[in-house]
Amino acid sequence: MTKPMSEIAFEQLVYENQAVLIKVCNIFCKIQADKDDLFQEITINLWKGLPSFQGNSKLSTWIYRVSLNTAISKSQRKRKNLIRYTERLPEHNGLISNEDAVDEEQIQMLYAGIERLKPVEKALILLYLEEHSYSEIGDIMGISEKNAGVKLHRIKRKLEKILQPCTNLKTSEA
Amino acid sequence: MHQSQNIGSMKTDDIKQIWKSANTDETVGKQYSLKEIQEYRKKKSRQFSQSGKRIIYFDMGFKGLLVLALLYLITFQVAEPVYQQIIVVLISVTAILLGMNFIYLKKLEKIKETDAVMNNLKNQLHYFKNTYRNFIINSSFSNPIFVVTGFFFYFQFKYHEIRMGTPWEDPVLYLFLLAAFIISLGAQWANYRNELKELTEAIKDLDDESIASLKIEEHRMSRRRNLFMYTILIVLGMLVLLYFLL
Repeated sequence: MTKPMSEIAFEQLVYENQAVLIKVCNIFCKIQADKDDLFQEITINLWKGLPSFQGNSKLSTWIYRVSLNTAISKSQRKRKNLIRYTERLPEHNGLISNEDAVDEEQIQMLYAGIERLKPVEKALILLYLEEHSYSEIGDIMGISEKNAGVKLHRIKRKLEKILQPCTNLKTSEA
Repeated sequence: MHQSQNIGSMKTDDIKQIWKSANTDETVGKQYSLKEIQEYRKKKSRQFSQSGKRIIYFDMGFKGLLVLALLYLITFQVAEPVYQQIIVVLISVTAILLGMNFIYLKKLEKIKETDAVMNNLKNQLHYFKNTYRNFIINSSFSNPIFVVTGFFFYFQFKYHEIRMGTPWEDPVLYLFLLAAFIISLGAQWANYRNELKELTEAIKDLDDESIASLKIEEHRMSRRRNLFMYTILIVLGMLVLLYFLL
């Protein structure tokens, strides 16, 4: 029988894995107050769900499951408050410099594009961008590996289409 | 020479590159301290299952107060046997509805955030379709019981007796009861339909086949229910027939 984790150990665990929680918050919420709310909600659910964590699945899988379930439920209930769909994507000059420096504008544009996806699509694209395998994505989302691949293919196309208006500028040489 | 590439053909590799840049330690955003995490852990959840629980608890408290008020009426105030019987029926009905709330609470606990996303959504949908709907109807009875209890108190304290006519003689009370039930049910039902729609859409977004299998399961359930009903009707019909024949 596994010994229950102490409160301090749990807080340390969340502290060490907070990057996952922050990424989920960033993708599901736009303003900091909403992000803080969601972070808090995920922390509570992780704490409540801790006794059911048997160690059968990976810790990261468990954290992702709780985080995404919480975020999806919250965004469904408070869609109007939580997700503020932008009428237009932020305008961009269309250029990525060869120095691989991705500027703030491009990041904003990507988030604005992701913001237009549905909650479960956001969850899937987040896992994809975090470079999880289809098998891991299927495990976290509770769908087959094949289905995860098919869904992701559609979501990637959708995201590219959303970001298309920002892409009219041609390659330039100065 | 400064060369730039087109973001316009923003393919998934570009997206991944931007994502990585957005999620370095410096760019990911606010980092939470151990103290903040400790405070968050201690706070109360506002998640569906928790808010759902709160709604049920509230209804239980409301019904509990109604039972106490009715018990007060029957013990200290109402002397007429007819109204005593009506109050006993009201207490019994409210107590049964109160007891059913415990079942709704128990079922709500089966929804776990630690499940895979799809399972969690399916459990929520199952709860909404099979339990929450019944809870809405159950809780909608609280308001008419409250109205009728209020009327009893009003009559008792003003006239020292309850004066309730038939719906044809004195329709006001009955109209109030009906309005209380319909308004409560209508308001909750609209919200319920929206939440149900969003959940179904979320499952569909994740797995089209799941919705199809859920529909098949629903169809099977409905067939089983109909078969059960028809069997009961046939048995009752035969019993009635036997009664008249023998």
